[in-house]
Amino acid sequence: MASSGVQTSRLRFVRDLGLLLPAAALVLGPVGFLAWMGLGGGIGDLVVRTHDLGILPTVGRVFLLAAATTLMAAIMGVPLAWLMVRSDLPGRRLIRWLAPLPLAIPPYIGALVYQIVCAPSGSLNAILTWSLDLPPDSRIVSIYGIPGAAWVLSLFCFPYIFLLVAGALERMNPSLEEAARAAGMSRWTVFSRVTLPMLRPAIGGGGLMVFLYAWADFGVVSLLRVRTITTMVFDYVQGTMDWTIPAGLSVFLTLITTAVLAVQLRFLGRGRYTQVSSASRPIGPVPLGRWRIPAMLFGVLVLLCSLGMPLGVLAFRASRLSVSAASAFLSQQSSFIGNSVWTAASGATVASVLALVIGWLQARHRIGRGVSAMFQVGYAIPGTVLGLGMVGFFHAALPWLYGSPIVLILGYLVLFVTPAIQGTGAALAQISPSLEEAARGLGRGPLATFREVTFPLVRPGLVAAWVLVFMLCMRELAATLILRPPGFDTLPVRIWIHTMDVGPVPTAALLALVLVAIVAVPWLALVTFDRAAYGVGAAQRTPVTSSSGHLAAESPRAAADAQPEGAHAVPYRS
Amino acid sequence: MPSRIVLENVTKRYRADLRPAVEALSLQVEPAEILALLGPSGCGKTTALRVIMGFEAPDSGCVRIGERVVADAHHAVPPERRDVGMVFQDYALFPHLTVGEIVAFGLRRLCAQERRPAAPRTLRVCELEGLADRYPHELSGGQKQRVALARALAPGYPIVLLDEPLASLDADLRGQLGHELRRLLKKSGRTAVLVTHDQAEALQIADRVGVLRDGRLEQIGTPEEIYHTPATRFVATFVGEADFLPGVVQADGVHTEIGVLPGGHSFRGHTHVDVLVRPEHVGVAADPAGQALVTERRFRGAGILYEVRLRSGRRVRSDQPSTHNLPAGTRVSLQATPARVVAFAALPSEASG
Repeated sequence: MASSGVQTSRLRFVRDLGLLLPAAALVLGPVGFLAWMGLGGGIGDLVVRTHDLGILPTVGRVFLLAAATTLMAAIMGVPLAWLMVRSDLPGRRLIRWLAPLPLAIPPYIGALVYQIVCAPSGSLNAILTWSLDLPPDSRIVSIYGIPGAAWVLSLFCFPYIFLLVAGALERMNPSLEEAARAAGMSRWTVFSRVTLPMLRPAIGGGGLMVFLYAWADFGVVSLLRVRTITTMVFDYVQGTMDWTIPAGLSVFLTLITTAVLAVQLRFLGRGRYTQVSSASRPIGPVPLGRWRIPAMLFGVLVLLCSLGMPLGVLAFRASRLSVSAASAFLSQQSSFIGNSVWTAASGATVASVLALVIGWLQARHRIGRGVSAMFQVGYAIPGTVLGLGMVGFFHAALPWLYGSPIVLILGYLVLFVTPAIQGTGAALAQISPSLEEAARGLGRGPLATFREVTFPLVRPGLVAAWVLVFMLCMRELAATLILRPPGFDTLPVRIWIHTMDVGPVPTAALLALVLVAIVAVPWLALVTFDRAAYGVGAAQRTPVTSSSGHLAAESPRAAADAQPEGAHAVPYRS
Repeated sequence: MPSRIVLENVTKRYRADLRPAVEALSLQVEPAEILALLGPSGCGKTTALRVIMGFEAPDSGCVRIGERVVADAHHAVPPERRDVGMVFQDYALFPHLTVGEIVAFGLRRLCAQERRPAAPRTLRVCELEGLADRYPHELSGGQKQRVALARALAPGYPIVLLDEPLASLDADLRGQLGHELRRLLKKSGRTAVLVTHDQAEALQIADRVGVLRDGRLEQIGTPEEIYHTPATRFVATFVGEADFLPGVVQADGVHTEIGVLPGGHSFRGHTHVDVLVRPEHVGVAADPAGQALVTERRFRGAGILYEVRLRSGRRVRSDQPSTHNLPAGTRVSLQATPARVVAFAALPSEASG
């Protein structure tokens, strides 16, 4: 900061290179490996072989699934957000609390739950056959297939849209709507001509996050027997040692994801019209009138399907086990739980520390952007692909590392450092450089300045980032399945294998409950702490992104650039 | 305790392809003096301050504080070892510390015996008693400004730098706090350099004012010198309101359209010059036979600013007490009574005035 010159610029170059090279190796290594393997036999060969596999119908199927998921998530998320922010719906505060919570339930656990509910002999079919007076063994509802998968994915992804739209609604300057009313528009015209267009970036951003999540999903589609590109890749990895087809498919998947991301960037690049009004007056809620009861039913139904019922079903299913059987089973599984916790904690720690360094360089020196862009590529790659690429790459490049849990932690790092960078970056961006300069002027060197000023200010954001990455690592399934060393199972892997092999048995439900608890508890603690902090005004002196804001913006893969302007700079505060 | 600050030929450029932010700047701030660096945004005044503070290193030239060279083209003492206090434009109060802790932040190097009374003493000097347990977000703008000043004063550094210290305050607070700032700085007896784009602020607070333009020092002097005898047209127009009237230097003074003004002796006879006329030095009187016409009348509360068109078509402004009321369109005669006549060589083109 103080002096420039030849020496420092050379130092900077070395530092940049020192950061960039490992990052490039971690991200581009696996991708490059896959490209090399997949395209090694020439593009024509690959096209023929993948065509024989039915690649085109598969792409169509996945596209349909992702589109249906996005549509359903928007139908759930947008009205719920509007009802919470703008209407006089009773229980709005409860929605504010509950609606983000489905994010804490991994969608594949949702799939497990709906397998239980919609099983041929399950309760839903039993009720339906009984009420419709049909023969007892006729199956009316099946969760398997595209509609079921879209239903499950949308239920556990809609909070992304909900949070972004609610945030945009809260930041929207009420004067705009008042001006429209003053210009003689009716309430409905105001909504369709003013409010909705202003929400477009939020809806678009959230929608693309959901779309990409569904597009790259492995857990739900594998459990619900939808054949997608990710399951094709996985089947090949399991079955053969032939790299060409899975690698080729992976390259294909990555290309399409990148294309969607590029569209998303353009879309959002143009759509920057979120009005941020700092001290806006609270706007009077819109009276719902006779729509009150339907609106309440809608809210209750969405939250019941995405939150209440999954937890209830899991608990009920697990309660089939006797206490002694349950504890015996859990102690038998405790090593896997331990594996999950320590790899997730290590991944979160490494990612947070790296994010702090990159975030600081980004905020203060406008460099480190290359590194951050590099990791965004990692964030955009589907977990299945990254897992496969890393296995191949490490097997070839660093065989002594391959087969140790360190590869798993590195995989988590590549996958999830981006949300951590965004979290700490947002916190750092709010720390004015003059604060650090003031400390320098008062006799502190660069290190003391960091310790006494920068770090205390960024700490809440760092904690939030850690918790977020911990959650994401804890629930990671697709990459873990491929990356884990032989015999090294994590909780999601156990749940998945269990359910794939023997169906949604009580022990799987019990494990799922444990996973949900481990994921949800730190997050709830963080959210609660955050809110408590806002209550006493402490958060105003430590301006950081609230945890729900992180979740909103950053959880799914490739959400990196999904938020409209200010979605993390101006945190969604619930 | 206060030290002298000397800048010798300091040049700083941020990018090779841009003109220097500060070019060959030389100035000297005497012990216990308050110097204001005044100029429009982008004139390099903040860069000059950051060079003194040590946040930027000069490309050439040398900065001395007291007897010590703190920066030249080859080495720069880092800011934490310069013993210079600074008040930032946004105040940069640490949001995670209380007022007491913020003020005590710079006291680490003092021994415990000196440290204990230092913070309360500074709080008292800056009239912040009772606020020691507040956090920055619980303070008003004026209080924040005083905390920022107290933090810069507390370590007892001989020099305080202030970057636009009043810019983030409301306009009505600014005048009052400017006066207070001067009083506190004088009370503390430090050498101070203040950067501002507001001429009223500079004239009010500083002992001397340096006017910067495009990285170069146009003039440095007391507020009176700057206002009454500006060295360049830029200084004349940037500080106060100014009109220029063409004239010719004769033995008895400068002959202009509104009469003969005494002065212009530094020019040779018959030289064409432009004379600086400030509105408060132009008297207007209703005169049906007058050659000038009131074209615009701006009521400003305490006074009325008239814009008057001369026969030649040139415009001159006149500041009159608000009781002296002439409607627009009145024929008037003018009388100029400048305290000191300042004339500049006429511009080659006839674009002046």
